[in-house]
Amino acid sequence: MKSGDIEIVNKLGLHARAASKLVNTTQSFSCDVRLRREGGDAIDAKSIMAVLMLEAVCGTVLRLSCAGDDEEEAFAAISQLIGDRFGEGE
Amino acid sequence: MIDFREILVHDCTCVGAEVRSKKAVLEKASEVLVARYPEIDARRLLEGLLSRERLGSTGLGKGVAIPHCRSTDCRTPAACMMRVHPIDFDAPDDQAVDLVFVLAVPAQGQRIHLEILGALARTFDDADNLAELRRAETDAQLFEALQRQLALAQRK
Repeated sequence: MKSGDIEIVNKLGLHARAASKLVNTTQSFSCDVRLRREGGDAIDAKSIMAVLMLEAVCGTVLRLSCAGDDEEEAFAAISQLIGDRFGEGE
Repeated sequence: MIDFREILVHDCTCVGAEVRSKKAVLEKASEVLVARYPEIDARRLLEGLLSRERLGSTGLGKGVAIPHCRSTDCRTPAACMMRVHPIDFDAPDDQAVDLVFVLAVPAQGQRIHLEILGALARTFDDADNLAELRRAETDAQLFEALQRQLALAQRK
């Protein structure tokens, strides 16, 4: 399993369109992908509804865990998407 | 906790609107919202909702969509809930959509926007909730069922 903390850095946080982009990315990998807020339950990051339930505003730190054959690639791609602010520019 | 009774009123809840396309749903929702909130400009709202859909469908899967946009016209979030004949909504699971929660939010207020989306997701992720919303026979039944579900979803 590959896991680590990732901060949401786009101004709008994990709103619907960002969540949709995230799920498009997670679904392109075969490994299990989970996200968890500190003290919260891990959610299935391949479900847009579950991702929206995180209510992650800018500055929220999430624990990303990928488990499966392509876990390294998935972790890198998801980290990059979040770090790139989902392409939102701010 | 968000009081959804301040965001969605009975007048803006409707079962069985005669619409056959995504665009028609958004037009109908815009009409309903403007009738209740005259400060909202109908054309601007519709254009905002359509523009948002062009960026990517607001379909969540399971027959649910949450079209939304920012509106400089509204001071507080305003919503319209409609159940329609299943229509194509380019949803991620390719399922036709029959439950549509349309939301206009003020330009500011990112945290409350995410809290609203979170409560909606918790509500619509539950199969029993969706079944209840699909059974509602009147506007009033749909309104009361959804309000109860939204309140419960926030207590979890």
